[in-house]
Amino acid sequence: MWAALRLRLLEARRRGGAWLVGAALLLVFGVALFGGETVDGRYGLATDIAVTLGYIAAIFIGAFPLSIDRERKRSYLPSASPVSPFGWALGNALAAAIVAGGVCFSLYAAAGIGASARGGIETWTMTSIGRQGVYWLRPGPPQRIQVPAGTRAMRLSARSFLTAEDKIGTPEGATLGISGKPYPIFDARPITVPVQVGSRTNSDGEQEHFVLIRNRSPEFAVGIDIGSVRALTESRSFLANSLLTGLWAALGAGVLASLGTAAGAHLGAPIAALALTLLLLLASLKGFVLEIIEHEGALKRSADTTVVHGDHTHGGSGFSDHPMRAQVKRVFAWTLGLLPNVSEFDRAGEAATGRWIGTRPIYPSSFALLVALLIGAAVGGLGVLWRRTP
Amino acid sequence: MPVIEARGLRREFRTRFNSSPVVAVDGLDLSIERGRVFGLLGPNGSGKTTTILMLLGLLPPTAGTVQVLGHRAGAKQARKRTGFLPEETRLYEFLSGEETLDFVGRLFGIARAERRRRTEELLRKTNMWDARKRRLSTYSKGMARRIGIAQALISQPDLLVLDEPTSGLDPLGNRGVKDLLAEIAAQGTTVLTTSHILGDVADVCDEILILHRGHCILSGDVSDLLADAERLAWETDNVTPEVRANIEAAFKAQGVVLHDVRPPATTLEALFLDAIGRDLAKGSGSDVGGA
Repeated sequence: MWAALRLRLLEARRRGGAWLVGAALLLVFGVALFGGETVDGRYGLATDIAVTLGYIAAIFIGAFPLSIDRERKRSYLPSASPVSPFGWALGNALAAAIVAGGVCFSLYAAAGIGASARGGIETWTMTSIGRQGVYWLRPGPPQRIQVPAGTRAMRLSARSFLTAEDKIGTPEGATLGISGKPYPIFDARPITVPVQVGSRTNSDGEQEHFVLIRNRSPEFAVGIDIGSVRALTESRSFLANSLLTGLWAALGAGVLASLGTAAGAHLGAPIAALALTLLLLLASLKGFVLEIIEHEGALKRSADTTVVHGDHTHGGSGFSDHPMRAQVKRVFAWTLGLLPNVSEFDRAGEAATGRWIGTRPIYPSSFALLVALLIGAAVGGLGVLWRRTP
Repeated sequence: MPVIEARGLRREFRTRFNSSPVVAVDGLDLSIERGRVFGLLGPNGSGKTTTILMLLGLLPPTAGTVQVLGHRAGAKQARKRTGFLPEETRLYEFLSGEETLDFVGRLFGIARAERRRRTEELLRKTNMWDARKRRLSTYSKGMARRIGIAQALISQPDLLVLDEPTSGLDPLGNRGVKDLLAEIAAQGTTVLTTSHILGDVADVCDEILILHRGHCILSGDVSDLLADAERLAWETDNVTPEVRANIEAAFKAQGVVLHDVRPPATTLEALFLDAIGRDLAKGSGSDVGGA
């Protein structure tokens, strides 16, 4: 296994891999520095490029080496030696996983370093308020919504609007006042806004933190989906965010490269690369389908009870609301189900505030990462064994 | 016990668009004793490489049995004691010659210090020491072939399988390989080799088998097969015209027909090697040239 691992790492370096990765790192770093007007936009674009290049690299790193060996009949050398076929296959798959994961992680790191270098210092992570149901805001004075201490922004969505005639509809122009500022809201479309948190001591003597929300519409009661209310509390640097997200992206790239090793050995490099690309597209399709289901569900919830249905030009979570790069992120975010749902922060950040808002990062332990890489490599290795004929 | 014992070896290939199988090797029996240099001969497509791949366990036979060094073909114990040079030198061109030997040594589980020792020894023996740091992508065909032979020897195998070992080599490299094979055989290693160059086979092999269309059409000891009991050849020197006339008259008197009387000629190979040797002695040669 180690002979294969060492050989492939050497191959990656000798075949100009270092130059290619260097050029990609420069590109991502440059975009993070100069690729847009706001630091959030630059960072978002840079990570889009990082994940795209990282996964393309994973496909190539996985699909080609063993396939080329087979074409050139170099596989005779290890096959005729006493090396264990499983060890050889596993070593190849593991090397592909390590190289692909390393490349992907480095690209993310470059995006984080670039964004940090020009003053970008924070993204926010979300904390669910943890209640369920619909919170009705009737026109009138501000009402309190309890939030965790340290909340700096809030993400919420309105699901229903109640007319004066007690009919549920989706009127345009409904407006919420949050911390004293007006924000237009639309059915099922989340908004993320900065908030001023107030505090008071309750009757039990405990300190309570709250945000004042006012329904500024004179004629509608607004039903807020409490399950969708998220308090954005933590602050995190772009660098930390990129490194944490990069770990997961690297994990996905590693597993993809391992699968590519098996596919390359069986199908040949071009077909394997095509198959992996289709896999990514299918994975992204899953994301699209889920989005559509969610959107249709929201429409259905309204339609079931709506007398005045209205139009949804401004409603729902339609993709036309988001720039192309958000779609690109979704494509990879859903890949293999391993990455967090990146669209969460795209939607939240871009729909309302224009800020780039990060989801709560998931902290994979290095052990979990290692186990996942090994599992991916083992799957790749077993796949190679399936066809041992050199 | 024979080092290689094959009985009824058969291999069919099916092409994707043609359901009728192509028989590459058909009912081959083979037995090679320890320490022999065995030549597998035949025209292109006769089944030589297919036979070798089956003996190494790289290609499963359609029918028949193979035992190599007392084990099933392809068994780890057999692979551990076998060195192999594929038909064309299929190596990793991004490695240097030295790294290639080290890599194959790793595959065979040879300890680091021993790998280094054997690598140096083989690089010197194959005249590749000066080019050891260069990547294989910069090697000529002959140099790559020499590294291929060196990697086959890194494990000090009991059985050495060489598919066209002299292919692409210049006469000097060719001579070197033949000398190396003779040296290896003298140490008790069994060698199985294929070649199109019949002169090479005659020079190094003890035993041959000729394959044609997958069948064995001739086999046996080279000396027995090449011997001609019906004819005699004399070789002598200092023959004056008078002596020659007397000898020819004596033959005629006995009713013996002389088919050919001429001064012996050297071989082109010997002439070439002599010229190169003289040039090297003058110090203008290099030992790292290509094919």
